[in-house]
Amino acid sequence: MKNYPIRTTVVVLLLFSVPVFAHHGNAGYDMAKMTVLQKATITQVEWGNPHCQIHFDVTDDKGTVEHWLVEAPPPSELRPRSWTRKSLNAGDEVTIYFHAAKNGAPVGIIQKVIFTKDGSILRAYPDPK
Amino acid sequence: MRHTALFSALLLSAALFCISPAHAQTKASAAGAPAQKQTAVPDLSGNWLGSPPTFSISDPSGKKAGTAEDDTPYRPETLAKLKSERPEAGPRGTFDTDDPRIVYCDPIGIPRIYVVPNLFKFVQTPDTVYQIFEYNTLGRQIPLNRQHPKDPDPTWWGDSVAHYEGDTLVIDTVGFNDKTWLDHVGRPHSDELHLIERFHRIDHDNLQLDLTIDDPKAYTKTWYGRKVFKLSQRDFVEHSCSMSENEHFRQNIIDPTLTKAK
Repeated sequence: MKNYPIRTTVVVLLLFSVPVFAHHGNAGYDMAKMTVLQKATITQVEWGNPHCQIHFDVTDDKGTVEHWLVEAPPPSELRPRSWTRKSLNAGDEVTIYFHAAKNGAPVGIIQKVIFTKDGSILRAYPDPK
Repeated sequence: MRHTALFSALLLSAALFCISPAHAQTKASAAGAPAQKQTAVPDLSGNWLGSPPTFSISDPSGKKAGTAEDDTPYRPETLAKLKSERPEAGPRGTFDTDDPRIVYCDPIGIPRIYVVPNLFKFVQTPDTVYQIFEYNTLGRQIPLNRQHPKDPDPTWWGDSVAHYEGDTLVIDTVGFNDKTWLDHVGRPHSDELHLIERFHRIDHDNLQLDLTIDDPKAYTKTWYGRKVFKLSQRDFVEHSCSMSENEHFRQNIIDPTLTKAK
């Protein structure tokens, strides 16, 4: 994983595990850390099973664009949280909260996004307590 | 139980024959089955929401499965089988799972259907209780006040019959194959599993399921499980297991996560 400037990357250490349950479990992700990337640009949202998939790009200090992919719950779990297939679209700029893969691959499991334009929030899972 | 892929037919037949649960009911028995008088049918209506990963009373989070703290009465070969699996959850939880419901979209079976975070509902008719599951768009038909056939063929969902005991719906199932897991941490069962589900609405918003797991081939004694479901106000959303979608997800997410760090 590349190094991101402090202004765009925040890693939050969680005192308690997050009650996230993906259908394949969470063993591949670092559930003790929340990665926060600001000014992420959504490039694609795949709405489906077994999990929705959210593609986004971030740019590091050197101007290098890195492509990320995070999984989200399936529609049956997102829709009850007022997250529809039209809620997040390619081109949206967001701050994205997720648990990254332990091995450094640019993939993870999303927690929430905050839209840059108005501060509105989409939660994939309830916030950790 | 007869499991059907004709989900729309199930819904139609359920709708045609649905009765008010508050109505008095007397059900004549099938040949050989004791007659059971019902003064009222408990109202189990509503969309009930399950939760992962186990129904184990002493291990609801599944963290003890297969460890020294696990009080599940495994036979040695059953414990060995548990430890040979690669489940998604529990102390040996891994991305590189061999869970057949994920790898092959195999039927999830019962009681594991109750530990997915999806809705289910009952449709109660004079002759049959239907269960409709959001997960994989499944339906289950359970005849009332009948006996199991003699020597049923082993199947994914087994043969289920049901009756009411006061305010409790009791579902009795035998005739399973041994291909499903009991829960997400991979607790096995054999083809001698005799499962009893007892559903009881403890108040308007909570439905309790008490499970009796009698499987002498896999466990040294009968053991028990429990799950409480919350009444949900949301509607069903399609959920389908698709091998093509699973493979796409595997290529995008699972495989990169399993590769060694650079």
